[in-house]
Amino acid sequence: MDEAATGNLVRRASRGDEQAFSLLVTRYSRPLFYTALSMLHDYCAAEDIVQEVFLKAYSSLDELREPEKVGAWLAAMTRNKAISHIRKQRSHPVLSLEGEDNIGSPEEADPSEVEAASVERRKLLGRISILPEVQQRLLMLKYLDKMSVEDIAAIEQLTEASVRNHLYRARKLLREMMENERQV
Amino acid sequence: MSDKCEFHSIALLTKYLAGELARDEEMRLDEHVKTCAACREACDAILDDPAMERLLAPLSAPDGLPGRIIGALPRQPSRTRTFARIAAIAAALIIGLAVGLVLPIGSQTTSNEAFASSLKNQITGFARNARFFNDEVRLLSASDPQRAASIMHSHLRMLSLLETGRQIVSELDSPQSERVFTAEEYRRIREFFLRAARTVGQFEQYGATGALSPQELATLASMSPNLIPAPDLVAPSYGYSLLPGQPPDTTDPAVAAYMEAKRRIFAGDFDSATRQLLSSWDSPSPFLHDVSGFWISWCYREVGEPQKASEYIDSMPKQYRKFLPMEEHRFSFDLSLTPADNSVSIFMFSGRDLNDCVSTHFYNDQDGRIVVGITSDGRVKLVENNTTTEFENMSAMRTARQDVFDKLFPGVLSDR
Repeated sequence: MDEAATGNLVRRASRGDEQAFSLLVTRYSRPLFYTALSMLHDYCAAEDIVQEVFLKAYSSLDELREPEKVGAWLAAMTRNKAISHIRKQRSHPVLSLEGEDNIGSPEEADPSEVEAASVERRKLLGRISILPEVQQRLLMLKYLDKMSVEDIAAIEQLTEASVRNHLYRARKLLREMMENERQV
Repeated sequence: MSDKCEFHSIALLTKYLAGELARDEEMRLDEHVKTCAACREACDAILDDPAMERLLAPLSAPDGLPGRIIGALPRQPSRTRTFARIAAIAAALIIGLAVGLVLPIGSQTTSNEAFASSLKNQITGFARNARFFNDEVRLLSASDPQRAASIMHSHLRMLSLLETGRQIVSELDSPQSERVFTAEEYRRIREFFLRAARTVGQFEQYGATGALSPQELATLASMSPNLIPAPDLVAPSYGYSLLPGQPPDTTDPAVAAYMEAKRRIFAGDFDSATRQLLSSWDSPSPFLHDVSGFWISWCYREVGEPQKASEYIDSMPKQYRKFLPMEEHRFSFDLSLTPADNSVSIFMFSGRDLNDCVSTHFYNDQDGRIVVGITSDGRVKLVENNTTTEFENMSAMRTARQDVFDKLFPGVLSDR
């Protein structure tokens, strides 16, 4: 979907076209979820944030001056809400049943493996959160959602070549960060 | 990769992906990769990263997310859109997602979370108001389906078959969520539980659900080698509890703590029970967390101390606060909990006659506890003074015992 099509979609949604709004939700909710998740490391909170973002967007879409940039607008809202959430968490820490995070894997049955995987996962998320935002989303769509490069390109309005290139560079950066951590 | 392909070189494709080729060569490869499946596959293979996939797998976005977002949008009468229309779109979206995502159980390409989440989508269309239930099932799409399984054990229960047999009143453990389901809807809900339970596969503590018939539970047990039926289990699952391996080990500190707290609850010593249960929050047992929070808030409510219940709920870890919103834990039938109920069998209805019931409901009257059970084929059993009377259906029971019916289902069916 090109910028013009995105702009049209937003204008239709802002005029009350619910189908258009649904398409926006379908298109952006997962990437936004990953943006929130990479900041919060909390699955439930990430989902809550994305819900809030769309709730806010639903009532204020017609205030958007550049409809074709709705993706950046939603992403900025997501980041702001995630930052607010982090601040609130710091001032009112909440005991978590899982200990330090809210993420676990059912396959990792051995408690020591669970803990090791949890530590690795947190480290990986930390590294991913440093990457450029577009690379963060592409990584999540590719390695979490296991989407094809073709589908990712369609969602992100990028060429397939660009998606591959971003993914390759993102992984290279992650490897470099890991090497640096080891050396430190 | 094709042997004939002029770009048949992993080194070359790697440079291409890394953006290290000269611009004209890169453009040539761009064009080539678009049309050469073998080179695309080779690029994909270079980008494959099973370790990262494995590490990130628990974080996958919930598949029902778009549908839930759309479903949660407020009504905006000033605009042309209406909630109903949005809901219709959400339903269409949900069905689309479900059709696209529900693959056969055991498929290697569908994660437990994705599968369970897509099943959840099938329900949200007609259980939209059931926040409590939604929140619980939402756990299925979260990172830990095992824990979700231990929580989704019994929260959908059939209350009553109506006269026509075509409609069923169902409750989702919340008075606000009670509504009439069609038999077809209910069948789908049951199917959801069974399939979700199968998908989850392994239960940490117990994962039986009142929505399943004994036959379905037996099937489930046979599919989960770690589970055994434990009809005598001291647990609130109406005789259909399944436990991994064996009934609870009372020498286990977590179980012992729970039992002790329960004893104090039944002795009317709620403060002490609260302290006891709070002291066990560190326990890894989801069973303890799930049940104890419910019990404490319930008991405080029963003794007319909603403030304490509220304080207790506020003190709970975030995840469980979510499942205990005050306004959604009112009990609609008249149940008095007194020290005389000093028995752990209150939820058990130890009368074996009720073991084939998919749902049990009870209240205490001056002569003791009255229990009504409903079997999976709609027969109704009334247990009173240790005597069981069986009725063909709820209508027959209602005709014979309007007093019991009114006590059990006040306001639920009175208008019908």
